[in-house]
Amino acid sequence: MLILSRRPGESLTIGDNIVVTVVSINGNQIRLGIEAPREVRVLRDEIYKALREENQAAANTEEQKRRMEDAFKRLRQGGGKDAGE
Amino acid sequence: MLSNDYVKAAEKMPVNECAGAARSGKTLDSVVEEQQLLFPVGILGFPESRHFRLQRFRPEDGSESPFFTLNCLDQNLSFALISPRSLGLDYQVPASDALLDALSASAAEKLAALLIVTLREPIADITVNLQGPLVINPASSLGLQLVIEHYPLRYPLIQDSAG
Repeated sequence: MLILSRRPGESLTIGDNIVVTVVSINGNQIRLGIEAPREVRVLRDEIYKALREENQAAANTEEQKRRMEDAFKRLRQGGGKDAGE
Repeated sequence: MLSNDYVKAAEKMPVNECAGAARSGKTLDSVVEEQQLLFPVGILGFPESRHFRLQRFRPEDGSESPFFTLNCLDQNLSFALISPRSLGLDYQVPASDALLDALSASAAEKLAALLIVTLREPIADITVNLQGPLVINPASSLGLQLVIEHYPLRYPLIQDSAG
């Protein structure tokens, strides 16, 4: 891991179009400003990881697709929430 | 403060102050039975999965179902989706200008949100991801996974009917 020291107000540049600025430091909390192109997703790491894991848990392979349709059918019979109109 | 990233924009915008908030599933009827969609940046954890076919689930007996399937055309991958409206929730997607831009939408009302269902056994354990909705623009065939931090990641599909 590359480690750099920066002071509040100073920035670093990643590639050609991502700039991370140290906005302020208050105790053990650091506020960062991030400039990035719109298509670059900026997330808190723990949020990103949790969502990635959930997506992976939700992903079905071709072999599991039948399982998916079975679940849909069972949910209709099993008193799950029906589509409310 | 510095970023114009749509995720950041959404994060900072309280939903109830968002004039253009797309009511959940409001335009879902405009989602055709079957449509190909492009997710230009993929889905979180699946950055290479960009081309999908969205299909409404049709039980063999011809009845209505709240479910959709999203099949990836780039790899062996599919997701079960559900319309937030089917859950009876007041679910709102903060629609920033950046979001509209990213999906080439002229107005928030043109967008539809669908939620990813995580299938588990037994079915009582099945959850719906309210935190990472798939927001799509049926008109442009574009979609993306938005992140709305204040919604739960695992919301039980089947709510206890007690009470």
